[in-house]
Amino acid sequence: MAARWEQVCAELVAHRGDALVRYAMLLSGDEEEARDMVQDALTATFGRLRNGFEVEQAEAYVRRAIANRFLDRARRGQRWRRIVPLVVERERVDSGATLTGERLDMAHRLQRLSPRERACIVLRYDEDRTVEQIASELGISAGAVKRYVSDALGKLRGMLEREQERAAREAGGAAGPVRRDGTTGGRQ
Amino acid sequence: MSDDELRRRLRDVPGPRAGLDVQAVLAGARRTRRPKVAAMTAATTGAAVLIVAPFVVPALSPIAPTGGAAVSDQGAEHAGAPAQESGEDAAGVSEPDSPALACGYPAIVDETGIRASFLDDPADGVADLELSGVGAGTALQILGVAVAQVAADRDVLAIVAAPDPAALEGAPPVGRSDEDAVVGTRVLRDGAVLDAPAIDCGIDAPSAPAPLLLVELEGRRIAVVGDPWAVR
Repeated sequence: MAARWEQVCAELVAHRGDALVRYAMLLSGDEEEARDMVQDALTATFGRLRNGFEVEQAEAYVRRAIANRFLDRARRGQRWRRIVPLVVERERVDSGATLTGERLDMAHRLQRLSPRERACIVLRYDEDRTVEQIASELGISAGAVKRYVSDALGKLRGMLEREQERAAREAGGAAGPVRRDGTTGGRQ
Repeated sequence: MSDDELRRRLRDVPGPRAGLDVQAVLAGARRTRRPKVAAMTAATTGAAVLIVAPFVVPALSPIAPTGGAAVSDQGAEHAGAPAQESGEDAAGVSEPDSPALACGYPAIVDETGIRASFLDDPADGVADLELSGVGAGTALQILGVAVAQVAADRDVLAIVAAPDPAALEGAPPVGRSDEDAVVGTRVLRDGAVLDAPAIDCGIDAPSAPAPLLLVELEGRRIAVVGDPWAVR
C-alpha cells in the first residue's frame, strides 16, 4: 500500500498537474522548461514534506518551489548570457498550436518582463495573491513587490501602446504618424 | 490596461497538457527520503575535522530551554525540572513531565538574530545545516543538532514534537564557525543529527523538521530551534 505522502502526490499530479504546469509556463514561457520545473519542484517537495500534509497544502509548497526554481534559473541564465554574448534565444512559448492571436501576444509580452516582474505579475493577477503573500513567497519585501508590479504594469502598458500605434500605422498606410492618443495625423 | 483587463488576458492564456511523470516524481522523492549511508560516513569524518575547540560534554549542565538564556558550565541558571528527571518508557516515549521543557525551546532568530534551517531531510541522521545572518566577528559553535517538528503553517514558532533537553547532551558535535570563518551565511555539510525520541507537544498541525540546536554564541550556551525546512 502506498504511503500517505505518495497518495497525496499522485492526487496532486492528477487533479492539479495541468494548473501547475500552466503556472510554470506563464513564468518560464516554455512548455518543456515548465514541465521540468514542476517535476523538479514536486520531487523536492515530496522528498521533504513529512507529516499531515493534504493536497491543498502540498500544492502551495509546490507552487512556492516552482517560483523559486524559476528565479534561480533566471539568475543562472543571466550569468550565462553575460559570458556568452552570442547565445541564440530559444523559440519561446510553444509552436503556436495552442496559443494564437491575443493569447500568444500576452504570453510574449510577459516574456519581455524581467523574471521578478513576471513572477510578481503572474502571482498578483493570475494567482490573485496579495502583495504580502507574494513577498513571502518570493522572499522579498512588500515594497519591492509593489515596485516590480508597478514597473511591470508600466512596461505592459507601453507595449500595448506601441502595438496599437504600429497596428494603426499599418492600417492607416499613408495616413501619417500616430499620436500618443491613438489618432493619426497627415504629413505636415 | 486596467487590473481586470490584465487579469482576463492572463487567464485567457491556456496552459499545455501537464504531461508529468508521477512515477518519476515518487522515485525521486523516495531517494531523497532514503538514508544516506555514505553521507553519514562523511559526516563522521567531517565532524572530527571541524571541531576546533571541543567542549567537555560531561561538564555541560542540563539545558533549560525557557527563554533561551545562557547556561553556564557550572549549572543551569533557570528553574525547571532537571533533565535527568524526565525519563523515558520502554517505547522511547517520555513521561508527561517533560513537555514543558521540550515544547518551550525559543526560536534561534529571536535569541540571536541568526536563522537556521536544514537544507535536506534530517530523518536519516545526516543533513546540511544553513545558518544565515551571522554577523562578522560572531563566535558561534554548534555543540549538537537534533530535530524538532514544528508547525509548518504558522508564522510563529510552534513546536509539535521535540526531544527532551537532556537528550541534546548526547548529540555529537558537528562543527564550529568563528569570526574568521563566518560572515553572513554558512553551511555545515553532512552534519550528524541526533536521533532522539521526541515528546509530543499536543499541537495538531502539519509539521516540518526544524533544527534543534545546542549552540554556544558569544559565551552563552543555549538550546534553540531554527526554521522549519523551507521548500526551495
